[in-house]
Amino acid sequence: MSNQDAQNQESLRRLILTVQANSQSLELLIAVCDDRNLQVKVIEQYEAELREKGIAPFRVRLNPKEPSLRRSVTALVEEEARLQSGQPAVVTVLNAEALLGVTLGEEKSEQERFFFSLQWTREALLRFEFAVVLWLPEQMATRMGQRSPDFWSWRGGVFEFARGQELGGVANTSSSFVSSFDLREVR
Amino acid sequence: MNADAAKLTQEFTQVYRNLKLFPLFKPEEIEAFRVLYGQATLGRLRREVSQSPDNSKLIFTGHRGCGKSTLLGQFAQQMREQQNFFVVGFSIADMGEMSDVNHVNILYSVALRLMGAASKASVPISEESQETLLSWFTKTESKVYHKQIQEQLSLGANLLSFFSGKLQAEKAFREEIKETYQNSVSDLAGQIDRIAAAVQIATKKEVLVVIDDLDKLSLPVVRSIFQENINSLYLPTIRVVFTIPIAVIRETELMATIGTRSEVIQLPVTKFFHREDSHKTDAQPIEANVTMLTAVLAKRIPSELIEPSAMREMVLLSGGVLREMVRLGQECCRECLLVLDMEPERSSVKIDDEILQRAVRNLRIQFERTLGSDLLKVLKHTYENFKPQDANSEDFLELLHGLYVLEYENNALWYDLHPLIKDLLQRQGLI
Repeated sequence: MSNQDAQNQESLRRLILTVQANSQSLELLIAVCDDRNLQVKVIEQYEAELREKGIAPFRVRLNPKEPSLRRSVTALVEEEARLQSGQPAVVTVLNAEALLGVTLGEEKSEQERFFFSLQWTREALLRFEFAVVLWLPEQMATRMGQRSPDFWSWRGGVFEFARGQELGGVANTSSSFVSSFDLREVR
Repeated sequence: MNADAAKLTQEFTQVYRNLKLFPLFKPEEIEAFRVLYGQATLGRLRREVSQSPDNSKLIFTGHRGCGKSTLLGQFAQQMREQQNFFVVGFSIADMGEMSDVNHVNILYSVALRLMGAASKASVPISEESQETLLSWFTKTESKVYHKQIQEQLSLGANLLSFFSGKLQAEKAFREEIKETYQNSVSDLAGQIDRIAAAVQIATKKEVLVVIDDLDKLSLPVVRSIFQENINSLYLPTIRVVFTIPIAVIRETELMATIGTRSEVIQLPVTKFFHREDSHKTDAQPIEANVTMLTAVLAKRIPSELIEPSAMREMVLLSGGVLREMVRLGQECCRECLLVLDMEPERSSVKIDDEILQRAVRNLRIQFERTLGSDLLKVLKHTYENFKPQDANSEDFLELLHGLYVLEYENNALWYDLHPLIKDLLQRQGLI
């Protein structure tokens, strides 16, 4: 397993442990990845493991025409009774990579509108009682800290995934990660 | 997982939950976690408001994450319980979109909130006054809204909730409000005064409005509100506390406008070193301040789960910014949970210097991600001179706004880098 694969495994474990620790009140988690295949694989893995632990996974996609995290998640909550019940849940937010960074004649680009809306969502998001994993490409994660500094300051964790040597860079079991990770570093 | 590891996992999970990044709003959280923090600023806020004329406006500012919202909540409670004020506090972030915030809908929100609070507190307002106020709230140029309002009235709905909901959710309604009232702002302010007068007569309490989260607005929006429309915003003859971004008070022109019309109070970042000592390797921290922030962590992390030296280092690495200290604590918990996850037979783990260094590395990478390389020169100059070349430059304001640079007070202001940024620059050989 390459160093990158080990880092991806470490990020995956951290993400799962964070959601397990706090899936019944708002937790804003940022997952960073430029590789769609790897992203799909990671999501499938954490959703499967969390489901086994009683944490219900949901997915929602950002709408490029109305790029707002609050609106997308609110619409999902209105549809899903479980998300209104305070039971353990995690919502994965997809499609940020589809937001355009160019303006196309409008005053603000889709990305700009998205960042603008994030900066203004603490009060509304605090009503959610579950973990939110927002997937971003690298370039957007970098800009988020600059364009939405308040939202960035409420992040509960940033988890980076990059393509390694193996397909997707995420092995199928956590045991291979355990053996590859140098435990001495953290003792 | 053995019993010890399972127990530790449970304990670190609870600690992780204790370390919330959001302000303390719920009574049980306040009871469990509040420590005496920012008391001098709180006292100053109380004095300024109590002793100022009844139409005064006060500006409250401070770095992101230094505890402003928690302190404002405490301030509102004290003014209500100890100083006999009728306090109405709300977050302007309830408004749907930041770009829609302007002086007109801030005033409209104040009127709605004040009316709502009066109604909730069963303040006896005469029927005639109520009808006048409601008919004023229902004044709208649009046929669509006029029809909706008439429908709601015929259904006997609570119109104040109806308007609050519309204001939060509908951009078109916010535009309608601006359209309707922007040429009659004095009328809007007059209505606020009438509601406040009715409250004051009925309760024998003076009205105080506290508006939080205006500091989340971008600088152009703040400029439009506080520079171009400050006279309109300040028209109501009641006491109002506004929050503004810290970067605003470094904008000379804007500050000149605000400073002549209102008192400005800043919640300072907790300072651990005097300026002359701050870059010395053997500098002794200001113990009282270290103790104060250590108490914040001690309320959240049981002593058996953290080494005293790691706790002290965690406090110092925060640069005095509460939320960054809490974030470091969270990151340490995550590292401990990771150790237990990987070594399920482990019988002990605690936050020690090694765990802390891993957490620091994680956060340093996050800082590095968002820091543009073109800003390194500004950081280097600020570090070496305790001040930037140009305190009004957009670059410097961005660094200040993003907590890369922290502002401290002695007799004069001085600046230093966030400890993790200092570490980053040292690793790159820049300082």
